[in-house]
Amino acid sequence: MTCAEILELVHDDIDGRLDPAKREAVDAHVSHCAACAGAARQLRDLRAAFRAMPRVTAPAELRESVLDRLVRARILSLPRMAFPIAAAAALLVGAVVLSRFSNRPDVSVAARDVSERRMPVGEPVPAPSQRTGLTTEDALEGARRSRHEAAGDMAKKLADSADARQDEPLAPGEKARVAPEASGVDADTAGPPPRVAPAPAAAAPGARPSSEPDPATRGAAAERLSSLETADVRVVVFHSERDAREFMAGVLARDSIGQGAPDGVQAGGFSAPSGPLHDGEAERGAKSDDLRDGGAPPSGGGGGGSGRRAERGMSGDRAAAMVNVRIFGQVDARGDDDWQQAVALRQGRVVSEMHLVPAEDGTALGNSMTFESRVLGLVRADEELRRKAIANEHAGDDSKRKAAESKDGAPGDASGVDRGSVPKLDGPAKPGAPPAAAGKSGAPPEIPGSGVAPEGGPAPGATAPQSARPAPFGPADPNRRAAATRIVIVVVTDDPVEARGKR
Amino acid sequence: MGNSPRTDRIQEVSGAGRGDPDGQRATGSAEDMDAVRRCLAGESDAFGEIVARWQDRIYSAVYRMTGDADNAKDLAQETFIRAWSSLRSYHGGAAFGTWLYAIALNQVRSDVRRRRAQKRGAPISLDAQRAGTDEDRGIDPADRGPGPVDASATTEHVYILRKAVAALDPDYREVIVLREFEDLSYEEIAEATGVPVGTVRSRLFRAREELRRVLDGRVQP
Repeated sequence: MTCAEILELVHDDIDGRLDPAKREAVDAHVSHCAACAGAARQLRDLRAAFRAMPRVTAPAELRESVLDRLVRARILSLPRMAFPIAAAAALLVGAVVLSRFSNRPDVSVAARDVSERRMPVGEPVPAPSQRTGLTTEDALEGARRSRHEAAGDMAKKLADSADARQDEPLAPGEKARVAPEASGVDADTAGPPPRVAPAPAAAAPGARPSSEPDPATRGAAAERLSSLETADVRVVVFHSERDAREFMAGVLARDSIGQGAPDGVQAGGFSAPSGPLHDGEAERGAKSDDLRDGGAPPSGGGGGGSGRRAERGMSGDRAAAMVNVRIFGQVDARGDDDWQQAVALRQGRVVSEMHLVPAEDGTALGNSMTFESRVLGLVRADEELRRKAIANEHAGDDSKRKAAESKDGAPGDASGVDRGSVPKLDGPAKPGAPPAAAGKSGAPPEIPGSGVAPEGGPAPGATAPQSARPAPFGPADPNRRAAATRIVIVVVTDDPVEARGKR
Repeated sequence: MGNSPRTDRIQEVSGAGRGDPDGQRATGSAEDMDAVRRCLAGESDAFGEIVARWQDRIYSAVYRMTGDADNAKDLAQETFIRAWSSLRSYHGGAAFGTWLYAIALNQVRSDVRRRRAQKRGAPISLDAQRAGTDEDRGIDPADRGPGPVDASATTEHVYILRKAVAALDPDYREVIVLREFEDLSYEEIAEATGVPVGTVRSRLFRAREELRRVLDGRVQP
């Protein structure tokens, strides 16, 4: 045998994969070949050196951090856990629905009615009834009374429950505009629920819809959003899908890589679903065990369930009275970990729809409700760009603060909201506009490591972060970004067309 | 290939070695299967047992491949999250540990790809223009000096060896880490890396020859 062949056998011998006959041949060769003997000695030394390397042990907190993430994800991501949130949102909507039929003067919250609530992460989410004291019976009992009275009671009950858990004072002048949602957390005030005005179908760029809040209101809304950075779960209620889209775009622009630097965000699939809804598909889409390591996510991307259901199952007044409630999207990522977690567990976001159907007597909220969810697509943030954007944003904070201090002689606005440049929250969506950073194709990217192409891609009318338009938020404390935040976006509308996302 | 007495001795040593501190086979045991079954049955504590049992080995492998303690922690965490979400797809065809290592390898490879992509868009540092290095190819070097894990125990030859391993081609680094540190067999490495056993053998051969050439006798046991 040649030295090269012997060398291969020496390697095999090192690994214990050499039969006795060959080993004898190797030993014979090595005994008279200095080069091969040297190589064999070096290889044995190498093996011994590897064996002598100090053992590496995992950080003590690794196990806890894994379990903590799983607990959070299971609470917030899995369908059975997401349901209480949906149910909570439904109860909120119930209050809104009841208020719609009241004869009260229009409180006119306008097209955008945003309400954020927070809920701690890391502990089990109790059933809505446990959190709020509200039950279906409560809702039905309320319905037997006057709608207005019932709505008021419901709101008060929610508020009472929330007051008990409130952990943070309200911002000065902050008022609730929507009855607190039923996740039962720090409600604002228990004022009468508003009458919901439909969203304007469209508006010229730059034009402010007649129902649009004034700049001060916008500023307050932005400030409230900013002040809720520590929220673990946020429920944001919109009354038009268009508004939800813009909000999502803002969230992505800000939460992923920071304000004003959306180039690293690749977004898609968070817009309204446009395909057909098939019964049972949602369940498949929500099953976590459909997600294989590197496997394809369950199919989805359809939608239009609300309107379709209205068309096929409802008619006349009842259909007209049906309120379409959609959990429009969920954003559950803040840092790298959470993006990865979202990828690992859901391969995207879950978009759910609920339908609240009036009771047979036509007077109240019934208990016929369906809950469907599906995976729509993926969002990815480029970590490096995100870090840079955060750094830039932070630098911007400092300069803003200094400017404010020099102007007012006092510390700057803690929220960091620039009143003079509060973006148009109600600006019209740009149907068909390509995602700013989704690449030329407009399709969301493959998630690294998942081996999974995004599903669906942006639906028609999808809006992505616009580089020219700052996100509708004030800058945030980077430290607070570390907290995972799940934003549940609920769209409430009685317009089936709007519900389908076809404006 | 039959096992000789010498082979048995090596396996016995490795069975109690670094990859197998509890004396069980490095890539799985009946306890793992039991824990998986209990996980699937809804016992949430069972997954904690799995993590506890495997965290050192997975973290160690990832750390040896990346050379970055923080990154290794993140990737190990991702490995377990992935494992949890894919647990139903594990049917016991491969040893549980091999399955976990495969997930960990995927995480490491994804991380390398991500970093490579980031570096492509980043300004080029003149300091990084050392021909033939991972940095040249847009890959983070797997070793950035003594890490926090074993810094106190680092001796010169350990550091030299780590540097040499870090400089290996990622494909070679994988097999060396799994074989020399994690004590996986060729077959287990083949399952974890997704390549044939013959490829594992040739990669190990080349990796060791490269190490032998680079170290040139500087490493003594």
